[in-house]
Amino acid sequence: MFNTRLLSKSGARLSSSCISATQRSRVTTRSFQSSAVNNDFFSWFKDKKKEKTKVKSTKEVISDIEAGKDVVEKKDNATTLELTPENFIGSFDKKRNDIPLDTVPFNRWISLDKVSTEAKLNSIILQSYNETFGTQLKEADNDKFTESFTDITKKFSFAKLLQAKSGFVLSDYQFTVLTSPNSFKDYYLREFVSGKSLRFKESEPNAIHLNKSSFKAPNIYIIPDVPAKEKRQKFKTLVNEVNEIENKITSDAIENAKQT
Amino acid sequence: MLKSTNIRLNIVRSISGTSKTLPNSQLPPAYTLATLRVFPSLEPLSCIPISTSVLGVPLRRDILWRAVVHENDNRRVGASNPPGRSENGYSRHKILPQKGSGNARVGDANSPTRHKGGVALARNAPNDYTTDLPNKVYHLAFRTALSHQYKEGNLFIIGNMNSIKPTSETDSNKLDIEINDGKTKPNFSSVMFKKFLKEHEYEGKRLLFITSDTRPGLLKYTDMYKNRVDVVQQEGVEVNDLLKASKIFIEEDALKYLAEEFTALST
Repeated sequence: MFNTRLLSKSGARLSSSCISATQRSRVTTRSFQSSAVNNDFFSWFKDKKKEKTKVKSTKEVISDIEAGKDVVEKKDNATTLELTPENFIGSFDKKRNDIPLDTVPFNRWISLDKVSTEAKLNSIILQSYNETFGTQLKEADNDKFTESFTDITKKFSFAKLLQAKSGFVLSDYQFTVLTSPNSFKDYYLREFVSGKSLRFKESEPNAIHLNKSSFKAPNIYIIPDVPAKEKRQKFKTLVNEVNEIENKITSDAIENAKQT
Repeated sequence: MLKSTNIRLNIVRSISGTSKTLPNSQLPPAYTLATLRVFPSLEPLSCIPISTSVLGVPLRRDILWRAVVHENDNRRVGASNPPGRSENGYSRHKILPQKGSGNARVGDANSPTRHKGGVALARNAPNDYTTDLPNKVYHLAFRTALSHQYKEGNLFIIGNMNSIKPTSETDSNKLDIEINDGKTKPNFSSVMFKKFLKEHEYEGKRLLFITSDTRPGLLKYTDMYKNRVDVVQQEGVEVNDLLKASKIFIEEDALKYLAEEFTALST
C-alpha cells in the first residue's frame, strides 16, 4: 500500500530521496485501510451513497443482452494480469507441470526386449543376415556365417540390425574387430546372453560373479548372491509378520485377563 | 684362419636371419571403425574409418597418470597464506630463561615446534604449484584416454557424414536440444534430456558432451543434471574429463579438431 503512494503520475517509482520531509512523514504515518484516501476536508460532508453506481435492474440487463449490447463494465484503470506462468509468484509445482515421459516423441530404434537365449540369438542373426544380404536362408548356414564380410556397408547394416533386434548396443571397437556373423554370435553369447553385461557394475568393474554352474564338484556349495533390494523386502515382510503375531499375543493376553 | 671363417659365417647367418620376417607377422591396423550416431536416440547411421593413432593407442597408465597430475597441479590456485614464525601473532619474548628452569631450552611461542606456533614452511599467495609436461607426452595421454574410452565402448560419435539412412525428425546431427518456448508446439524439449537418460539407462552416470560450438539448448536443459553431466567445448577438454566420464558423446567436428590438435606432434 505504501508503494502505491510512492508512484508518480507517470507510473515510475520514486525513490525516498525525491520526496520532501513532510511528504515522507505523511507517507509513513498513513494507516492501513481499504478505501481510497481523500485528504480533502469537505469530503467528510459528502453523501457517499450518492456516489455509488446505480445497479441495473435484471430486466434492463436482459433486454440489453437480447439487443446484443456489451453488458460487462470495463474499467480503464483496472490492471489485469495474464494467467501465464511468468506472472505467478511462489513455488513452482513441478509434478503438476511435468510432461509425462511416455508422451515425449523418441526415435526408439533398439528393441526393449533383450535377447536371453541362444536359440533366440540364432534366429536374430539369421533374420539380420537375410535382411542384409537379401537371402532366404531358413537355417543357420555355417559356411556362409563363417565367411568374413567383404563389404563394410553390409557389415554395418548387419551389425545395426543385430543390435536393434537383440536390444544390446555393440561397441565400435568390437564392430571393427568382429569379422563374420559367427564371430558376432560368439561375442553376443559370451558378453550378453551369458548375463555378463547385465551384471556389470561400474563401481565394481572387476567383480567375480560365481554361480553353481561354474563348479560341478558335489563338495562345493556356493551361496547364491541375493540382491540387497530383495534382502530388504524379505526382512520387511518378516518384521511385519513378527509384529502381527506379537500384537495378536498381546491382544489375546488382554482379553484373557479381562475374562479372568 | 678357421676361427675367422666361422665368425664370418655366423655373421652372415645372423644378418640373413634378421632380414627374414616371421611367418605370422602382420602390420598393425592403420584404421579403426567408428559409428556415427544421431542425438538423442543414438541410432547408428553410418561408420567412418579413424586412424589408430587417434582411437587405437594402447593403454599406458603411466602416461595417463603424468597427464592427470600435471592438470591437477596446474589447476591449483595456490591461495593459502599460512603464517610463518615471523607473521604469527605471539610476541618475540623468550618463554623461559635459557638456564635454571629445569625445562628444555625454548625460544618464543611462534616456534613451529610449539602448539599454535607458526608454520615451518610459510608461504604467501599466489603460490605457484604448476608443473611442466612435454607436449608430446600430454598429447599421447589425451589420445590414450580417448582410445581407452573407445575400446571400452563408452565413446559415441555424433554426426551424419555419408549416412545410409536419413535422420529421424526427433533426432539431430548435433549435440543440441532445440530451445522451445512452448507457445507454438508442446514443450517436449524440457523433458527430452530426461527421456534420453531414461531410454539409455544413463541415470546417475557421469556423462561428458564435447561440442564443436556453443550449444545453448543442451546447456539449458542439462542444467538440472549439472552435477553429473558436463558440457565442454572442444577447446576446453582435458584428460581428467575424458577419464572421469562414464560415457562420452562427441560431435564429429569436435573429434576431427581434437585428432588434428593432439596428433600434430606424434609423427
